[in-house]
Amino acid sequence: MTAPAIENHKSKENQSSTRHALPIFSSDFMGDARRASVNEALHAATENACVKKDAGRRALLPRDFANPDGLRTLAGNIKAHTLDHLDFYVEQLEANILKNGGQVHFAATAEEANQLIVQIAQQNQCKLIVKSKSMVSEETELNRSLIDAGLTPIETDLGELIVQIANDHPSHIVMPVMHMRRKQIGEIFAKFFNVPFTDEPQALAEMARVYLRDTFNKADMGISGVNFAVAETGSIVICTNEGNGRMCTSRPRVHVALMGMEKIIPRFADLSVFLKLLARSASAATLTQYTNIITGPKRPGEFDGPDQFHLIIMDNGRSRILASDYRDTLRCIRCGACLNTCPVYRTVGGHAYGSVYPGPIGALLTPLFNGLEHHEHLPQATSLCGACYEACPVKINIPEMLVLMRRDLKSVGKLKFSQRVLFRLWTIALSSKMLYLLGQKFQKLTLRHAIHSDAGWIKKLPGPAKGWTQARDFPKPPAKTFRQLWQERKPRP
Amino acid sequence: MNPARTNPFTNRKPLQPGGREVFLKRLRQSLGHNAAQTPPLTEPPPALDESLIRQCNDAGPALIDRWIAKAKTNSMIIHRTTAEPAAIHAALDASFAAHNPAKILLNAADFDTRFSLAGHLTQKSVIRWTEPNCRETAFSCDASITDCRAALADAGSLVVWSDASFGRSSTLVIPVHVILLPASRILPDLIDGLQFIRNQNPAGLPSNVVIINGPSKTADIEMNLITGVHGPKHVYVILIDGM
Repeated sequence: MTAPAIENHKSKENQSSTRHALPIFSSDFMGDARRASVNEALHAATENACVKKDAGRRALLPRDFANPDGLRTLAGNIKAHTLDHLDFYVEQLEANILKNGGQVHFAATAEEANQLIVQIAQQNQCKLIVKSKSMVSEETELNRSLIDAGLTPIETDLGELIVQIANDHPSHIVMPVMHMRRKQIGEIFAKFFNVPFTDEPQALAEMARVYLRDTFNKADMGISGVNFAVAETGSIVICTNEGNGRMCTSRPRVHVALMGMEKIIPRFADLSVFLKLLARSASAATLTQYTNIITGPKRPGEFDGPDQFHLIIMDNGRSRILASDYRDTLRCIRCGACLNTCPVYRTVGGHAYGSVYPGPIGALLTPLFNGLEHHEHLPQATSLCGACYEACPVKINIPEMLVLMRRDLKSVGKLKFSQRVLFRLWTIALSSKMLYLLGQKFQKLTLRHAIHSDAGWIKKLPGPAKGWTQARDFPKPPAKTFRQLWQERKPRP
Repeated sequence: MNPARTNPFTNRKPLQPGGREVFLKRLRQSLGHNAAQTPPLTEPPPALDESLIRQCNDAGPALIDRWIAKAKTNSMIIHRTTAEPAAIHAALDASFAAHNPAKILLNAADFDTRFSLAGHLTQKSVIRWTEPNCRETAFSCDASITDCRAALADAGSLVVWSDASFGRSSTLVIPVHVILLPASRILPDLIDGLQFIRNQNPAGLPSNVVIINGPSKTADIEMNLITGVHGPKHVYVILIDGM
């Protein structure tokens, strides 16, 4: 098979606009979500993948552990401890990587991280670059910077390769082409490889294998992300199923790993907690196919492996998050369990979030990285049902922080006049016993006797509240209020 | 909650580049620490409560059976033999039967000496890891035979690591992978595996450790499970008793 060149894709983002910490693909959450919610093909694909993974995770954790909740608490506590002492652990990691013969670089921003990688490539005369799947490189739009510098990056994860060829964006942090049907993938490959159409998955994977095998052999540089960086040993850990991550870090002569600074864990033994949780949460497996623990470059006497190992530790706004009430979002290990379980994500798909980090955790991370004023709808893109918190292997209280973020809408001037008036009135009413009781009476009068009420549910609310009942019923208030019941039941002195 | 925490939406000064010192200073400040110097740890990391993590505590025959059961669910094919050359040769033949490889990479020197593996494969072209250009030759091999350092029963895993006599490519770039595993190397749990890796390498970890859980696979296309995307398509384990 001939190896066609991947076109020089430019970012879909307007190049002249200010660079955000995260690339924004769309800022029209409401419009995108509305369109996605009636896209049946997208639904079928999303439901198929998410339901399977979510059910698998729910089945595996109690099957394999006596106390899965305790294990998640432990994982969350280790992450919380690491974040509280992140300066200590970053320095420990750096010292141990240097001791192992690796090199460490610090990047303040996404752009600086990209430029560091370009410099490493240029200093070593690297042209052809193989990449293993890495969300942080999506965050920095690394491929765009590499292409702009005249380098050729090739994605080697099957899903990411499809995304790259189609000039698309991943819609899920673990399953990048979850939104595509096999027919579509078949058409993309038929055109790219100039071969007859097939949508048989094994045949499609074989095309990618043949094409990429050749590329692995020729590549000068491999770029990977980092699932975990172990401070006490100076190791990075990469979990992959296809083996492309191992190819990228074993065959080319230079290996560059890029990580957000929150990826650190203190001890080698901590891996037992995180590897077990990650595989079950991300892909309903007991362990990923290949867990690759890399400690420095090739040693003297070894016959293969990279001559150089570089680690780039990136901030890109993480220090700002660390200093805020949202520190816990940095516990995230990017397993995607909150996406799979979320009723909103399952309905609108990944692209509606307009960011590389979709789903419940993305609804937090995207405004934190880019500013809430660009993403005012995201903290509202939740039913606050709490499924994400239950699914999270490191116990990030996502619903609580989404509510906090709604509070912070005020600080960036994104609360509408009507909302401000409503909240003001609400505050006054709830601060006064008399007004509270009056409100209760009013509510009973209007709601209990609402003309459309039927069997305990109100089908239609009047005035500004009618939006609520357009898609669901509203519960009828009970005959007696809690205060009345309390008065009746309270034992007399 | 720390009262000094800031609103991340209103305090959005651009991050200044400037390398290590500026990076660390900003990080320390974000944690409320002295900007000039990282403070020592005030508390150790949370204790690792084994009762939460450990899935397997078996020993003896139960441990071996558990590993076999898990490895089979990981799509590994297992041939159990005694530590006799003839038995191991038969297991090799069985592993290769469906593939008929012409060119084989051998990266198990101790086993070769003891069981005369190359001597049995005289019909094949055998390349030994550590021969000149073995890194390049490996790419064109049809099958590889390697040993491994340990196996883990909790998830049916195998553990390998690189050194001057053991390559990364031997377990990665060749479509059919045959692994020799003495039953005595099976450990109960990932916890024991990680401890073993550290104990065997007191001076520091090897450059490349891999925990292998079966053939290369993907489910990227409509969740269809496909094996053999980049790594080996077929993984055989010759499990050797009494060694």
